Amino acid sequence: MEEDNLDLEGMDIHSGLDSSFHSPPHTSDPAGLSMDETDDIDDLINNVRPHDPLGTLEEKEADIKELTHSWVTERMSPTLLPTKEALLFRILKRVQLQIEVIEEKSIDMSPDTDVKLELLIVETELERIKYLIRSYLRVRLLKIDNSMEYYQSSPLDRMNMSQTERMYLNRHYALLKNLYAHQFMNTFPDSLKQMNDSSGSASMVQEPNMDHPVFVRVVKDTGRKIIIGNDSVKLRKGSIVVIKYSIIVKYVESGDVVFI
Amino acid sequence: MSVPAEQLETFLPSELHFMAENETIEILPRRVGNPIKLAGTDLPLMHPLRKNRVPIWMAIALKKQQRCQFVPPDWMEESNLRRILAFEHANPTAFSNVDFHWLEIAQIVLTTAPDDLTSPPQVIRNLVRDIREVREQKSRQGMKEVNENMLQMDRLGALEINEMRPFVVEGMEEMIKIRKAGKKEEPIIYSESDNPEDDEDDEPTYGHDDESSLAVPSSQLDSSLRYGDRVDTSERRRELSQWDDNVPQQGGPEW
Repeated sequence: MEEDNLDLEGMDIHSGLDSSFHSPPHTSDPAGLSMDETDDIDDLINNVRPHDPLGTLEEKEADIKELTHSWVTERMSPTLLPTKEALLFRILKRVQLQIEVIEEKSIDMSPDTDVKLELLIVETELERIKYLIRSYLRVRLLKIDNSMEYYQSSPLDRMNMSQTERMYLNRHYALLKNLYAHQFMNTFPDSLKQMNDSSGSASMVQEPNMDHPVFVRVVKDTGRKIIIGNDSVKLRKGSIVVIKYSIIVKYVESGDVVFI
Repeated sequence: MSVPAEQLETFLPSELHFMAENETIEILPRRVGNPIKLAGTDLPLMHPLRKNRVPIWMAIALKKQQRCQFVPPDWMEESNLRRILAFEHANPTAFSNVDFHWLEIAQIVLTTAPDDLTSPPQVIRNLVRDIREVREQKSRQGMKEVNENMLQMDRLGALEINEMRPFVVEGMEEMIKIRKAGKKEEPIIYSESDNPEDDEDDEPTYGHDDESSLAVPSSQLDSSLRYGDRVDTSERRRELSQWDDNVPQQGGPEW
């Protein structure tokens, strides 16, 4: 029964993301929304240059920068960070539009080398973006897999997951539990059947290791100094420090330091 | 499973190249090219002999189609590389302030556009290799400093940090475990005060350079020398000025 339900829900990450293509496009043009009386000049410009479905250059560049940054951060941080679903939706939408461009342009078989060059560049960029997205999502899945039991029992951390990731966690956990039960767990005495026994010296729940050493670079001068025993480090812009995640995490969150 | 084991804890060299390719570089288009709309940026209208700044991955694609030539970054000039090498030799404990992705960018330019360099590629290649070797030597010395608390790696490049990553992480983790098992943990103090006198005994700093100052325009190199290893600065300047036959332009690439 349970499995049927889960199947219906589906857990395909991509289908989850694809749904965004049907939702209204990200509107980041407040002028169009709030102001009735727009400048004549704005009107003129808008007429001459129709609204680009890809978004403005600034939006595009900011999004790619954020994606790259999120990817590095997710790869290097020991914990699962808040999902960037909205960002992924925006970027995937642009990817979809670019795929349409490719299809359109490759139909016309003219020997025009300019078109070929354009296609080459468009495709190269798409491959780069796809790599980022894939690697980003995969490392998140890895973290979820590694600490499945922990995330099952920690609603706060589950907030960082996207809906599809939560679905993945639930379904994977259910499958695994089912498998263990059928293979060997059912033959155990009741007292040995839990998978989240944290009594005794070694807990069965594997938590993200907050003491993991991380590599960060200071990007803002904070005028702060961290002192541990005889060691101290000044958080000066440009400095690169290896330090326990638990110690530096608050500066990561405030954006004063970034992972490298 | 979802991530190959070699990608845990560290980046692959190919991934560092990938990141370096997001940096920008100046190119000189060979002929007119129409602007292209992309998902993450745009390729501007290209005019022959008018410089454009584009992401390196795009420059590589254009170069391979013989549509442009590279304008190598200032720090890749022979004279500037010689200055860096001289600094690295002269300061056994300090590093010169190079581009975070200097090794990757140097390699990209040397393999993709060796014909666009102002000096013979072999000379540049050897200089880059020499600098890398001196720096490697020094950073290995620095590994003695690994302890369970922290390690500072200022001014090292992405590739240089990455090769030490697994060793440093493993070393620290073991020491953290030992500390946990034995001695009690040392308290962590986040000190707010920013007393300038504290800086006296600090190792070389970035001074007023902002992080985007990637390296090497001569003015910046001189300022970083100031923080070097208590060597007489004027003397060092004189010593270095012999390399200064070519005044580089200001303004490195933005980060």
